[in-house]
Amino acid sequence: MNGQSKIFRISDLFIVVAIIVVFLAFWFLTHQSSLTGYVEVYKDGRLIAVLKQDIRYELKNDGKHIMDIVFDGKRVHVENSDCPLKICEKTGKVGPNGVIVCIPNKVVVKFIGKSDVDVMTW
Amino acid sequence: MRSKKIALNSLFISLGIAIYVLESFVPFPFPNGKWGFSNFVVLLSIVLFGAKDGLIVAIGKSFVGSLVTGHFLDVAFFMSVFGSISAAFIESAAFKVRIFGLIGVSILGSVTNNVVQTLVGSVFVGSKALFWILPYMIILGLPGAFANAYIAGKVIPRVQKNYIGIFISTQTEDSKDTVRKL
Repeated sequence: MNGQSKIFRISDLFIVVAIIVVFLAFWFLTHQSSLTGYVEVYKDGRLIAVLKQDIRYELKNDGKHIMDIVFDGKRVHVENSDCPLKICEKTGKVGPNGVIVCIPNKVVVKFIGKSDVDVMTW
Repeated sequence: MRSKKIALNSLFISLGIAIYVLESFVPFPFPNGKWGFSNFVVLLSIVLFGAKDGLIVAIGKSFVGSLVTGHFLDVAFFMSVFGSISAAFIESAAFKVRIFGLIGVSILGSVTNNVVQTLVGSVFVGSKALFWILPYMIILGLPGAFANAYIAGKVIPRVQKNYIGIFISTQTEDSKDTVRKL
């Protein structure tokens, strides 16, 4: 009984390669030379703020502090979130095309990247 | 035979929850990622007993696990339940077609889990932005999926050898075939 060969079959390799290829394509497309842009803040799926310059944006819900969103012009990150797992804080600083999501607070921070290239042609 | 099956499923569910609780103490190096080692019991159950039992273990693990960790009926709970159930479905189907090894089955389960969790999360948050994180979640899920497949592959022959009596009466015809192959 050879357990090893059944743990891995050659078809498994195709799945791994496919995932890595798709990931690299995604990574390449989202990490193009765009280094500038602006930040959109969504709460409950609604756009509530657009940050265009260096700013420390205090997000409140019914007067209660939820989190601070810090944008330095090149990167954005979340500070002092009141959610339990602090995943949004741990996401750290994200650049253009990056996203920070806080599920408990239903907040999405999207960095809309502006590419240096206006039109892409074949 | 029925009570033996209930006992075995309960044992698998408890094992899954124990791993789930223990792994939460081991920090994952990246945000939005999880080890996901507890899903190994679902894979084990699918291989040893078949799709139905795998599904029972997946549902049981999510329900009782959320009660233990205090996430019952919150967003994480719905993400976990829907993710686990769909992963168990896909893993069962992938195992049944006999094209993939345990690694392939486990990875397909992990990818399904991540996609469905993202879908549920998106509905809750009310934004498709979560899908930007999905590729990272899928990549981060690969090590766990590999580990689960490897552990399951090592455990299955030992379980068969040492607890053969249990399997004679509880296996379905379908899972007997696959276990013989392993």
